[in-house]
Amino acid sequence: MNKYIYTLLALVLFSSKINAQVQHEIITEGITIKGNGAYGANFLTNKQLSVFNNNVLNLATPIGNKEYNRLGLDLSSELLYVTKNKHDKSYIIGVGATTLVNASLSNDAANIAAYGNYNYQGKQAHLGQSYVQYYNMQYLKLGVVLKGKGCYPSETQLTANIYGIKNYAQANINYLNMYTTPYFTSISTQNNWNLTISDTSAKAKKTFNYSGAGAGLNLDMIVYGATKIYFGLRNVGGLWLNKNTINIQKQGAFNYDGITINGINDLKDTTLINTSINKLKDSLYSSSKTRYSTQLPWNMYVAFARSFSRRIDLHYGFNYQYSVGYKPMLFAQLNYYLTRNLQVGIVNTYGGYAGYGLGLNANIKLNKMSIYMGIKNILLLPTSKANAGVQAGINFKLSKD
Amino acid sequence: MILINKNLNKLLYLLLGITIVLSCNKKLSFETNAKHIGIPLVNAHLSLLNILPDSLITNDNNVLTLMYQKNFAAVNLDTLIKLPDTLVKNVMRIAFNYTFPKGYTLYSQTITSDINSKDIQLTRFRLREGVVEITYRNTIKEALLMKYTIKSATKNGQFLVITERVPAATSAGAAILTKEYDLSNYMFDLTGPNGNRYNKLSAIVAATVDTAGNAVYVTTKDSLTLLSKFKKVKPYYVRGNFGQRVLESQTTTAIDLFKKINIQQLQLAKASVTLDITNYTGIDAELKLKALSTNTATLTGTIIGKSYAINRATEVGVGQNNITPTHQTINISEQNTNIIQLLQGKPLQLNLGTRLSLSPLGNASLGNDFIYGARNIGGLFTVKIPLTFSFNNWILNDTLPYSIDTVSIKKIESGTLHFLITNTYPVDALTTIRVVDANNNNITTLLANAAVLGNTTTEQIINMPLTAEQLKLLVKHHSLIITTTLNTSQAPNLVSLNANAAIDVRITADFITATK
Repeated sequence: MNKYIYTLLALVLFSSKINAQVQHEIITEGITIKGNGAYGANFLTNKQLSVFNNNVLNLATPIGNKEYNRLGLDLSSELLYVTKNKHDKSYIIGVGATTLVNASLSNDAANIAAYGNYNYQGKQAHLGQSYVQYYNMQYLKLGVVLKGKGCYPSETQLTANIYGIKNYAQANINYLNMYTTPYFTSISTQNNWNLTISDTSAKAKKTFNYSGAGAGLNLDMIVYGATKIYFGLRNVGGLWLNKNTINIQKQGAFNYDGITINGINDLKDTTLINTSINKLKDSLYSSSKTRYSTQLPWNMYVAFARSFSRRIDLHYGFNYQYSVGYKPMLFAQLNYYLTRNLQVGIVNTYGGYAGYGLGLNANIKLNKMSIYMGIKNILLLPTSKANAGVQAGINFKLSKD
Repeated sequence: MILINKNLNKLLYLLLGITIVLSCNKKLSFETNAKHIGIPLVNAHLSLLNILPDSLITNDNNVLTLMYQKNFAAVNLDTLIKLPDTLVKNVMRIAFNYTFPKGYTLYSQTITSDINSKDIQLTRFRLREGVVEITYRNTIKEALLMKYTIKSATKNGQFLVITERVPAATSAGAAILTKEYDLSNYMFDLTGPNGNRYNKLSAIVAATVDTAGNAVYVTTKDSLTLLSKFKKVKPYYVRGNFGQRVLESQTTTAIDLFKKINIQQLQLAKASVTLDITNYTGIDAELKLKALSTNTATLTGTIIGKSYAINRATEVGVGQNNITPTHQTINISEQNTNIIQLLQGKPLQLNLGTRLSLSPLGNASLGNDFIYGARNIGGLFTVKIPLTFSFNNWILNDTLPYSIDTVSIKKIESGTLHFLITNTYPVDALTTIRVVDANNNNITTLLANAAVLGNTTTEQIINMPLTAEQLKLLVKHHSLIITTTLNTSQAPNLVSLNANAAIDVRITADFITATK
């Protein structure tokens, strides 16, 4: 409980200058550093995720009852440079990295992923219709910002990301029924699933060592008026993994009841365990290496912003991401200007990887520097859904004016 | 404003920290809840048949029995029969001096030779392998064509016929030629022309002046000599009268039975020892057990010095290997000997003295005794000890060194090992497992007096919880002492072991992962 209080206090303290939870502003000129980290799961509470409680899961914890369970993790960072606007045009160059985990799990798969298989002794677990995607990518961003004039001034940001794929994995569990006997003496399954894993020789910690490449286009647009309209379409493109991509698949039945020992002589066999594990692998799945391509997890948003007074405005809309486990997220953010350069706000979100979230944000402008920061959800009570994240960014304007 | 600046500084530091962390793309560490996971580890089926050396255990009337067998006193064909080396020596001369044209037959005569077989009277024999070596010595100045027809030897209905060109003598002296001829699988009939004799070998020898040579002058001093020998002989079948023989045998054999089995807890009261004599020969015999002793004791009793008649085997046909053997079993039991005393001494050596009398009644078969090379008179010494025993707090201590993968074990916070055991042996077991240090000092007790009942088909479950503290101790130390106390259910009464008895052990791990 103390961890909860300390964390909440720290976040409130450091986030007194906070910007939008849903950050749709066009990147302004100068150098911008941005970071984002968020995770959510609609089937786990904070306690179950043990963010604030390291105690062992109570075995009596009831098995969840959602048919589809969503889980996601999104980590990203960017370093960008935008040139000074000249003839209503400026240019963008930058680098970034992103890690994305998306999962859609059946009820039993979610339970086993979260708690283990203890509660499934003597029961059938239906793990089918479960999907997992994992991206770990670095990119170079190039683009342009165009300013439009007229009755409805606008800004349009067109960028392209050229990706180096560090790691990629996906699991398509179309059908997987698993029966575990009491005391785990035997685990038997009926299978129809496949797994794709990018080239494992591409080490994550080695610079410029990639398992594939990708390309994506981004469009961000603001139309100014009494109500500002935001529209964005990002990451439209694909990725291509090299020929060492591992494809693992399994169809049919499988049973495992431990390493078989038929007599004392087997115990003297020093290769028994390795041999058994190899046999287990052979019977568990078959694998091959091949090239693989798939599309990027593109996302789209539409939002609106309207001022109600000099100090209050409202920003609302929805965000959608094409990936398993992500549901369209609705948001509404109410901002209050304490001063002309200091804005705070609260944001309500619903959807995404989790359910409802109540976040805080702040934005401060200081001469040639602006800072924003947001907390995705302050409802970090042990019994509330796992849904948390932080955003932060800082911009330094390099021009003299 | 000062307050704002202070907060701003903090905010900047926080932003900088987040940016560095995220931009470096380091793996962020989120705490995840502990998971409760179970997996099967081992599925073992252990029976005495695979615990003990295979050859020692047998299923005797559905009771597991230690059985030890050793052959002794084999009397085979090689022991009894030794075929003579020299079969025939013939010296052929002419009666007058004369010049013989080429192609002229100088000699042609039927010879009947006694093979020198000492005191045995052979009527037939067949060789599995062997050769006849013939040395020719020719003093005539022209080559001779030899034809040696052994009418006593047949194979597939054909006589054994040997032809050879013996080179001419030279001025330096007689020509000598030595050659070998295969005799494998020839049946030799040694009964003579009228079929009522023995040891008689009939042959026709003919010598002709080489048809490719010239006329030659031969004197009465010239000769052609043939010396025939059996060599490399391995008889397959011998028939005849082998005479009365007495074979004394004193054998000493090592017994490894008690090297492999600890009989300290075994009861030997139901042990049985037998001497099985099987006679595959057509020879009547008589066996006398003169002495039986071990390195620790000597057998005494009524069977020592007693003679046992061993009847001859019978065969269908002659030399067809269609034999009906005879058997004689000598039971050496607690009733007629002190055999239990011998076994209790855990003997490592067996000394057996026998006297085997062949044809003790003389030539009762009228020359129709027979022996096949691969079949003999032999004995089989058998010790059977049913695995009946009793345990009364018999304690087994075993020190088990181990090492644990410290990387993998860190992923486990705590857990339980489940042992699901079905024990159909009539033995109850109490097991304690302790972690000990290098000096065998107790560090922690993982399992204390866990009971497994014997003689039951019901699965019994032993749970061995492993706390986080115990896991740390397991990683830190590298030795377990497993103490098992065994009790038979009605000790000291004996219980026997069913041949199908076994211990089935299934081990599963049920562990809780460490949070991270």
